[in-house]
Amino acid sequence: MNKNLLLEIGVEEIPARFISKTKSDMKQYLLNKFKELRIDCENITIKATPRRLAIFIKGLSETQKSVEEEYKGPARKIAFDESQNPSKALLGFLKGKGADEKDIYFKTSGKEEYVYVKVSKIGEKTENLLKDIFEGMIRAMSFPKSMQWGGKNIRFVRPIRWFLCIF
Amino acid sequence: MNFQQMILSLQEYWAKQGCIIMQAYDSEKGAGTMNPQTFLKALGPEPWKVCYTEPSRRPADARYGDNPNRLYQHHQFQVIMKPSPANIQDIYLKSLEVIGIDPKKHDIRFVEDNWENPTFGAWGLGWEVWLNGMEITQFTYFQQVGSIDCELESAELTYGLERIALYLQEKNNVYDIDYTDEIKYGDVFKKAEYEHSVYSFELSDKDMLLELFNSYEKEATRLLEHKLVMPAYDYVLKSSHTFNLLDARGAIGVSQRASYIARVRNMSKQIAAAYVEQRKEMGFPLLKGGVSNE
Repeated sequence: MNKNLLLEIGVEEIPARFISKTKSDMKQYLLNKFKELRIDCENITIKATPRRLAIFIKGLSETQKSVEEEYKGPARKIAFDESQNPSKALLGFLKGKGADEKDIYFKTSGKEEYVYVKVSKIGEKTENLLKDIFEGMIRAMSFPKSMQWGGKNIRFVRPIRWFLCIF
Repeated sequence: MNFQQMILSLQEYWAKQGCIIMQAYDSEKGAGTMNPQTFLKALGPEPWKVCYTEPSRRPADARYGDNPNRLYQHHQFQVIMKPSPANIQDIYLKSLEVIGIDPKKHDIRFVEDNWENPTFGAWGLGWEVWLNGMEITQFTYFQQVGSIDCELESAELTYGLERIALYLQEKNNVYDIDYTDEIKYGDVFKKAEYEHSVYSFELSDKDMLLELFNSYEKEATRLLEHKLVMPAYDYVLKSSHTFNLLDARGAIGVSQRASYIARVRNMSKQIAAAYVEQRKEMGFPLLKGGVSNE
């Protein structure tokens, strides 16, 4: 299901000349991030005052899309030992992908035949990802001069004092 | 509210916020930032809260006591809150109330101003605070001091006391400000303003000042070799004021100007580094549990 989200970032007076670029940078960052994380959203509107950035996301999916991803493993000729048991190389590959021997299949790539496996990734709840997404967005913003404040490990154009998020 | 009451009210207010009340530093300087209680204490990881009134001398701004707004020496009320508390803007706005400015009744704005003092290798981000269109305070979050990154940032608030007094007392001329109810600002300072103007623009001895600048620089450098941070810093302050006098006198050409500024900056940078090193060797005593008076 899709829901609407509101994020407000409370800041101390941002100089007016930075606001327009910050709005478009934030919007672009979120669109790219949602696409990368397979989270649908209808559109994003950002409004700002000197002390507040308000991000309104319409129709944000409550979960990431689940996907099946195909991974290429070792070449077939080194995937098994003489007695046709899985070799260390194959076992390591399967362990790394969290897959089982019965799921494997073979495809030719170049001149060689290789082991392949498909792993399905179950989409997470969007809610659980939001904190990292928004933190990443704030850290990704750039200004001609940015600052640190109060001993905190973050830079922004002026101090951020509060957040509000409704989803 | 007279000038003296203003200072007393601000001191009392900031003391309640945990600041220690210091006195002005007894060496000529252009701004409260150069008082070592700010310049040095802004460095390193130790917390620090202080306020004081600083007479600030700017020879080039001297006007023979004729100009109603420009002074050879004006007064700054300086506050350092390190680290800056999350509600520092609110704390500041409340401080205006104690001197009779109700923020709800006036147009108070925080207007972008990226403060820097290249001579002391210092810069920060913040605002000029405007009261009905007039600048009354410089509000800065220090980012670098003495060309060193501030490990723990300070909020620096610098109130322009004469400007605020002009506004509060509805006066058009700084010399008409009531210092107390009996004594005018001009009674105290007008003659001195005239004399310092004559000295700065007409009578200062350029050759002596140039010699002094070189001597002060040499002494600061020598004292640094002995790791005597405070005495060395005194000579940097003296050299800075001497440079300001030479500048007002027109004794320094445009091309030389940059090199003099660089010389002061270089000294202040070395002192800043030596101070941080010294505090480190002392185990940063103002971090909890330390002892700094051994």
